[in-house]
Amino acid sequence: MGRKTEQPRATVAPSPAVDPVLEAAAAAASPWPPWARRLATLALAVHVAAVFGGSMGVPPSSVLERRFADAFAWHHGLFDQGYAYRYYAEPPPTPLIQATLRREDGEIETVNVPERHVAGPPMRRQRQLALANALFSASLPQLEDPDREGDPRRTWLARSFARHLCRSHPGAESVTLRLRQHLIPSPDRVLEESRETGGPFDLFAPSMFTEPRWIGDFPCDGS
Amino acid sequence: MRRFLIDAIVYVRDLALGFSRGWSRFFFLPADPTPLGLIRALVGVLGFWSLFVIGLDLHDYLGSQGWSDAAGAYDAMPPFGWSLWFYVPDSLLRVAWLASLAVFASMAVGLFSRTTSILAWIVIVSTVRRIPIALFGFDQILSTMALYVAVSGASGRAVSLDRLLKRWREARRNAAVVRPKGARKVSPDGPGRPEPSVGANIGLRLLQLHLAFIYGMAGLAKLRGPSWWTGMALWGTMNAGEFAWLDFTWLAAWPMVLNLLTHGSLALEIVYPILIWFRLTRPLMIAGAVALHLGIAVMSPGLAEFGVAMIVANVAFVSGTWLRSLVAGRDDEQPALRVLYDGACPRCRASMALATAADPDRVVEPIDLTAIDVKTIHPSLTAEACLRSMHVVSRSGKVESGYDAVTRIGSRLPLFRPLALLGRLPGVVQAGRVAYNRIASSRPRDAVCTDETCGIHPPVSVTGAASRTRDSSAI
Repeated sequence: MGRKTEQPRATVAPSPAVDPVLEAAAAAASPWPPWARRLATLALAVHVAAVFGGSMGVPPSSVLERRFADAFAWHHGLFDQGYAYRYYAEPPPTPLIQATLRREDGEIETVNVPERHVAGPPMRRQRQLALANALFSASLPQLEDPDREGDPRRTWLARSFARHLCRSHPGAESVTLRLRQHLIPSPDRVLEESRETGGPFDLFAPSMFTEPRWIGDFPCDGS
Repeated sequence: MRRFLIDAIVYVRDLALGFSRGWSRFFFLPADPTPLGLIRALVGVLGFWSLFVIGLDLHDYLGSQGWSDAAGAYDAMPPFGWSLWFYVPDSLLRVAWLASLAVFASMAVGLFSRTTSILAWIVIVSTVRRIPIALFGFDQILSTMALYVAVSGASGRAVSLDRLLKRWREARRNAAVVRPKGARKVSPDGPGRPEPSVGANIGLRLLQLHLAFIYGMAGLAKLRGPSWWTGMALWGTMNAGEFAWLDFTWLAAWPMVLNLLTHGSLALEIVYPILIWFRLTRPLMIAGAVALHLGIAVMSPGLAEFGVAMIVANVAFVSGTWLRSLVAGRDDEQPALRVLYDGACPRCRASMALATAADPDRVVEPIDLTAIDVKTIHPSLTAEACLRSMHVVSRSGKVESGYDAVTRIGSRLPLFRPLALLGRLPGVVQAGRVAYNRIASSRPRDAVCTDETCGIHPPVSVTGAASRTRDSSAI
């Protein structure tokens, strides 16, 4: 790991390139006694293996990778370091929740999670996008195969979302949850429509959203 | 055959020994805790901000009847998962939230660093387990950094109030002792640069390894996506309506630009885990990562915190000496200021003790003017003038005195820089000079100071400094 070029040296001309550990390591020996190093080595090896296993065990993965990850389930549960880090492997459309609340007087209110504009810092809206994404991930198997048996996680999450909406909207009698996706336009489509309209492309045009797909109807009776 | 087997065994033995030595050298040598201290401070700020934003909808997220009801979320936890939020009743949620914010604030300023780092990690993991449905990449990175900061137990050794207060106590204790020839030492025992520690090394190494792993995994995963091969993946991230706040659709006419950005991002993530370990390419990798994450923040403000967290994690690869030199100057530029102070004045000694305690390296060299001939410091100086007010001599030979000297010192110490900037504003300068002169002229001294020698009023209390070894008023 570049050891030969990283010998400790006088620091008259500090450089950001110097390894923060090696620049201070004028002593060749560790001040820790051997037993402490052995103990720490064991802990470090387990941790490194757990982080590695956690990222490998996420689908798509081999049986071996999953078994390896399972061996460190205790570590992932305790230390919260079992992530896959597979960010944006393919930029997907963005899921959004559309909740239709029916009031006792027959009035209907539609709530979007998130709304297009959420007051406060952008992170507040980002958390709401995560809510929609969580419900979408939990509902995906059933959205892809409507005949499939209800996933207990989906049922729990959707029911919890519905209960929360009922409570936060007093007077609601029932709530229907739907999911839709905000699409990403292709460059060709943007160029074509910009040519036709002569103006900028509207990322929020109705055609940029998929038809809402039904997740479930939930009564606001506390069940 | 026998020779082959012996050579193979020798090779395996050498490999094992080499690995063992390398492992020990990698993890168990003492490291400069400055990068870790900086990371601790920034993790504290990010944790505070994240929890503050959650607090805007506190009961929606952490309440028992929130988006994910407590019973369902508890059942959905992974094996061995835990969260303290499950044990906080709704009526005490705001109190627990405020207490958690206080933990992050303490962590950020480095107060009780060891304890608050562990508590901060507990709050972060508790929040992750309570609302896994409201998380994004930022929370993963924050959790990782908080874990390593807590595990190291050494993050308070730099960039912390803990260290400042410890050094200030030392400096004031030293300032109370009369040394040979009457000169006082008004600085702490140890040097301004923090002492290297194995704990800091372990924290930094784990963060370095984890970060390299994250980039590597992110890069490898992207290789599965066709748009990363066609060079149009960034088009998707820049034109996802829910994320973008600026109009990037005009880039449709510039596919080559998109190709360049896409391929560049992917290349960075793939080569980062390798090239970050080489001295020559390390700054390039860090600069690339900073550019990438700033780009993400510009494209999508909702992911700004994620970008900032990744940039903070990259600090683990930055030299502590270099970081310090950004605020303290290089070794050959120090001491930047030689400060002539009245060693017979308790208040002056205490002020100098504070300045030296806050010194990140050895920016300030305090000189007790009662123990030297001031002309040896600068030919233009006179004892009378120096006794009238504090004088500062810069490396360039520039001499400043009184209030201007105070702001000059403040401007060279990171902790006091904001105050020094404020103190130099028009109006504040004039008021500051009047206040300084008034305080300086009425300052108490250990020794008799007459108008003939000092040009100031007689001291309020006169004590025999030479006969004392300690001065309690300086403590």
